Amino acid sequence: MDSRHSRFVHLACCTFRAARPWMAVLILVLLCVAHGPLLQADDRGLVSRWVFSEAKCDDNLISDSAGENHARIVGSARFAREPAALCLDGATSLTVSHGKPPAGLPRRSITVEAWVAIDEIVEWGGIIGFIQDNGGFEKGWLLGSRNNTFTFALSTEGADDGDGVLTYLNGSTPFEPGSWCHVVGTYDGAEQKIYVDGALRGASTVQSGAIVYPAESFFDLAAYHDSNEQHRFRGKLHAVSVYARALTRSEVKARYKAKAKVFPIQLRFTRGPTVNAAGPDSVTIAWETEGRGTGLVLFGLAALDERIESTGSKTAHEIRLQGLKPEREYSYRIESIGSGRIRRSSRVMTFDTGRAPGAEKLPPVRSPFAADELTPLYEAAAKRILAETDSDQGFCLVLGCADGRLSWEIASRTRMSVIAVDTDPRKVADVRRAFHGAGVYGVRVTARVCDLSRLPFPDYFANLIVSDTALLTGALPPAPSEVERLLRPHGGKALVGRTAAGPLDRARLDRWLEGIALPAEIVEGDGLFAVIRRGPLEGEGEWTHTYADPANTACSNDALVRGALDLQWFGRPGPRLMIDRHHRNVPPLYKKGRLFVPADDRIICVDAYNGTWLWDGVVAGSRRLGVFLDSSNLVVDDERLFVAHHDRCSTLDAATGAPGVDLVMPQLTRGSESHWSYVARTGALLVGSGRIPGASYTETSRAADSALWYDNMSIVTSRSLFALDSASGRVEWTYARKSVIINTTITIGDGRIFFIESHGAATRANTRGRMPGRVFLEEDANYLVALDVTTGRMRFRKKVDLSDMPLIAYLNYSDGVLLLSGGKYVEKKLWYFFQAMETGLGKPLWRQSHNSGYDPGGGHGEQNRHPTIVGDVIYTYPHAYRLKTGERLENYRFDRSGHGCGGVSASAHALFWRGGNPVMRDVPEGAVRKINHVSRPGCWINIIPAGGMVLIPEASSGCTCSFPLQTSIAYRPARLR
Amino acid sequence: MRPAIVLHLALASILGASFSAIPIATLIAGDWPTYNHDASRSGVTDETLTLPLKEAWIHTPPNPPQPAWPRPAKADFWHNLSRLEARVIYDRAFHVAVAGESLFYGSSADDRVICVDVRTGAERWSFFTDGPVRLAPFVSEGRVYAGSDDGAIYCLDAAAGALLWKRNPSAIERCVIGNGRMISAAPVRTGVIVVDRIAYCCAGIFPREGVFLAAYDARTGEKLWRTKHDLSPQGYMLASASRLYLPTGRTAPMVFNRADGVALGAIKGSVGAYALVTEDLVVTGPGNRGELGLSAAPGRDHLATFPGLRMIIDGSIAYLHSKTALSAFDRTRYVALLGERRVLSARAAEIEKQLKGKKPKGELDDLRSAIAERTAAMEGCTLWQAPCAHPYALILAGDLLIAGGEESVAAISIADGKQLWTGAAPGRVYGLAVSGGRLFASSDTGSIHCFATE
Repeated sequence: MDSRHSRFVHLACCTFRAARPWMAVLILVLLCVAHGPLLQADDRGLVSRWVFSEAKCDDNLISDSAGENHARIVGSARFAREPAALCLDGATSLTVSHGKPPAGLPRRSITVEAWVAIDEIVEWGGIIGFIQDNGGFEKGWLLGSRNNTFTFALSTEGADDGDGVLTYLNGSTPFEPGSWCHVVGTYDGAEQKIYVDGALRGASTVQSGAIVYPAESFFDLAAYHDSNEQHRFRGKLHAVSVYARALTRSEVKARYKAKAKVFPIQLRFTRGPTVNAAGPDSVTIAWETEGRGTGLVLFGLAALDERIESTGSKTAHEIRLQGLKPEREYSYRIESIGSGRIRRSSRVMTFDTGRAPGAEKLPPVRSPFAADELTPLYEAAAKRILAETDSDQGFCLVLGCADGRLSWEIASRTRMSVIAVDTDPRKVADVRRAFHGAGVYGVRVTARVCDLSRLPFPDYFANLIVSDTALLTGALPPAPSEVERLLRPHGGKALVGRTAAGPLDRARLDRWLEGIALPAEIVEGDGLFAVIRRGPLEGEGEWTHTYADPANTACSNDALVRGALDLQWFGRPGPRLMIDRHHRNVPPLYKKGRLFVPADDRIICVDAYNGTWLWDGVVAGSRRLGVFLDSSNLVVDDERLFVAHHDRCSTLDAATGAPGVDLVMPQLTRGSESHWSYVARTGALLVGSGRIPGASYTETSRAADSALWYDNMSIVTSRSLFALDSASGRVEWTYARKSVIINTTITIGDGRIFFIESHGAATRANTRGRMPGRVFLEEDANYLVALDVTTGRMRFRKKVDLSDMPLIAYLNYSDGVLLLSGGKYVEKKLWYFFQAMETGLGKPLWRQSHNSGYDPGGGHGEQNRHPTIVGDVIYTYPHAYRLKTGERLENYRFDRSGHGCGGVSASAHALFWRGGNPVMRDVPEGAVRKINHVSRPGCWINIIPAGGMVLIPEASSGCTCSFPLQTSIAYRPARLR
Repeated sequence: MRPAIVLHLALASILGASFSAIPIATLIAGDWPTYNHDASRSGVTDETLTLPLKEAWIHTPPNPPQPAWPRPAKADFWHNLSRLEARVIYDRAFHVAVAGESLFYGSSADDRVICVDVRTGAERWSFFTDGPVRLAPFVSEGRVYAGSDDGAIYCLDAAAGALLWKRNPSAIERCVIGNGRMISAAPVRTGVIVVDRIAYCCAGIFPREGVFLAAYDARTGEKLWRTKHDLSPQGYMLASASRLYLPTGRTAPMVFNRADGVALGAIKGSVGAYALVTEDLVVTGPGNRGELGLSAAPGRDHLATFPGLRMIIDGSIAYLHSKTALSAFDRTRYVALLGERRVLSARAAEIEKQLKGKKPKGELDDLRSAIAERTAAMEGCTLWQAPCAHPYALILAGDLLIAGGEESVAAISIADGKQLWTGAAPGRVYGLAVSGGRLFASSDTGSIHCFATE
């Protein structure tokens, strides 16, 4: 609105207000009708305005409604409605001009305003600008984003150092990707401001005087574009305006309010949303909101052009989307209309469709074998065999395949992959033809010619071994030792024999079993079967907690893994479902032949010996990152996997993934809610800690990635400890003081739980629950505390000196020794410090320190090297010390053999870490060697030496470096060949 | 069946045929002997199609392809990269080879090499291997060559599918569980190519288990040489007159001497399992975001990187296929300008280094102007650009570009990029072939569609 209109409206109001109020109202209404758009806001000084709607786009040209700076779409354009917006894919340009600054661009003061929804967080994002920022050359202005905050950059004469100085004024609050925001940057010649959604979010007086423009640049929308950078925008634009004056705070607020209702309010979830595959072409989306409302999912491939509503107004919703295309990435958004008919909308998210990685039961396909007199025999045999087996997943090996009928019975009754082998090529050919005809050859059953006394298959791979030939003819497999070699530990079974009638007697079976070292027996009843069982491998280790055990040793004590390794399996899980590697997700766990792989809000369980995808389960809100500055939220026992999130620990059946009860934590901090932080299993107890909600790292973004590296990392803390009965969830004991517990120091050993707590003013004043290590340096503020882990009774509490540990502090326990370790910079080198204490009263045993050789500011996790304790030796970088005495090992030096950020895991005889590729060395003596040259582990611990295997589930997700295979991979100690 | 005329490339050159592919001693006109037509993976045939085409038949295998590798991560936060491109997608469809009236493909689902009658789509014969056959066979002189995850390569009689010979390049018998299947510890994931009656292949993807590049007499299976390497080959192998090129999954292809298998180093281009080789260029990709690297051949010097997923080179014209567009450009002029700009840029960089931040002198300004001129001239090499909604495959048949897309396949004029015809095919069409006036489209559903002139 120009000034003449403005004055006119003001005068009219005064005149008629004095006369009759209703007349004034009437005239105002008439004026509003006549000048409606003008009255919404004051458009004095408007230089350019682009409104992005299909109606205003002519031949890919968006007209400038206030000037001549029309914008051309170069690339693909798609418009959305309600609200009208141009959807940009990150590859499309929106160009006004290239060259000299357009004549009308503001010089003395400026306002840049945009209604925008940014889908992709990038380090350098642009909404509109005319800028050059090339090294020291910094001129122009830009409204855009820096990571997840909006920014208004400006260069003026007052700050000019000869080639310009840009001030990037960032908004103080992050934006949510996909959410509509009103962003305004203003400059009045003296002060630079940024507003988000009508509120002032930053101000600066660094710049003053006239705006300094570069001689040439790109006047682009939807991009950060100068002569050496072009970062296009992915998201939506509704409108952008440029003024040659600074709008006032009230004007900005008014402009925001005038249009805010057009844009949906952010829908906030209390749980989820979770997306679970319900088949290759369907998914189920579930979520919960605080308030009741209807539920609507908008989804699609290229656009959100399909919709499904849930029934009724409620807080918990579940919607199944069907008829989807398999193996695609869909986008979706959830909307809800709650009380007051207010529409709330989530950001746009994505889900994948695809075939479930875990095998499913065969669809009802016709048997390739006609019913005959043998049919009852095979049906009875299959029932008898499967009654003995613990699992219906994995691999079944059929030694002697006959016609393939036993293979069929097992394949059709289980989810197993059946490998049928025989010495007779004709039989194998028949089996192949039969199963191919049934449409299951390859995907469920395969057959091959093999010498049965020397099979080419890897040790331990078979969950079940049977023989069709033995069943049919009584001819036993020639080499029972091969059966023994191939059986999977932790429940693998071989059942070789016959049903009620068959040419096989007990004496022959007895002889066949001679020489078998595994537990074996002959079982009669419904036939005669030799049953061979394989339990756990003798000497295998476990990895049930973050650092293997509650004592944080990072050593599985697996006595089998050492020396040369043979490849056992590779493949899924792949990178798609995983957390980006730099965010340093929690380590995988191993127990009883199962490998539990943490993915994004999801746990995947695979068979450690053959890689079979056993199950996966979504636990919404369970993402826990930066574990080396915190504690893991995963722990496993014989029966259950525990996943801490929010105020509870969800339990999943370790064998099936079936959800069990949620164990809810006690709230011990008066007046404020706590969330479950640390978790450990010991005895009958589930031990936990309570932290401030939001204290743990959970965000994935460029900014969140940066927060976990270099020197300014923050450590997550807790406010309380507690122990629950792991079965019932009954609270057994609690511990809560006016103190802050350092999560990285919580350790269980010798019947006690140890930790360091701070009573410092700065740590207690921290309201985020996450703080840099230097905050703990307050003198006389830190205590080492020991509680009886069974009762929670205090055993000792003594002052501890953390002055050598401003970067990190870790606590480990082993064999009566408590080890406190950490690091600090000394004369521009990174030194590591160690204090050993006995566990009775925490009396000092020894101290050690050494120069790591690292320079300050390392970018590969040098600041936080968690010690690894193997037997009576503490392995650190680059030295090792005797646990009991602190004596440094002669002739030992740790060579990481390539850059690597991860922690070091260990078996009883070897260390494992990331040195570019997975690397190991036998200890105390042995050469460093790469396990392979083709894959990469994650950036924290994810080489798990347990179960007699070296398990490396995929954790390099997001790494775009040049290595050939991004895969999960597993090895076992090599056999002599 | 089209006349099976054996053309020698020298003769083809004399006749002025628009081959940009590497010479292959024996090529039967009209055939489509392997994935992307030939050992250079040119994707180019002189065959023509008369539009409009009509669906002639659909061949539907019992099960869809079982790709080895799942989709990539969604993002690389550190590098601000989202929507990462899958670098290893060689087995997402059953790519075909066609010779005469037979079509051949290998199955990652049921481990077979299959022969189909191109007139009806009916299966003629099949041959079982002991593991997934992930890459298209190579057909040469009445024989079908294929590699399998079982670690072996097979030479089959094209007429009846009888096994003529079988070799295990690694000599490794040990199996592992790979991508959910029991396979050799040294699977063959490069396919087999036959050039000058020599069959080349590579077995193994784990150097510690053993990776072997080998050459065999294509007729007898006699081993000519075998070399061991520290690399992880995956993707369609290529050959030029003197070189072999091995894609290595997520990394850059490696180059070898064709005569003896000696390694010559990696291509310094864009990473990924896609590659194309011509007499003077190697094109590789698709990188992390869909970018192609252009390198000199037979050397390995990197020339340029630009957005794109694949390329067709036909004489002096190159067709660049991206996720959303198709363009044609004068590649001879482009590469010449690129070379000039590289020389100028190197000189400019040298001078800038000498100046160490001081104000530029005259020569540097001149160089910068010359570089800008070359850059502008390179932009002028584009002959046309057109939107393309078919981003998954591209071949050239006569004067038509054929592109595979979502649920459809399209024929596009090479003159101006205009779409002239589309046909429906379910799923994503990753594989295309043209032979005998027929178009074959393979998709991730496993089906193979045949289109022929109405």
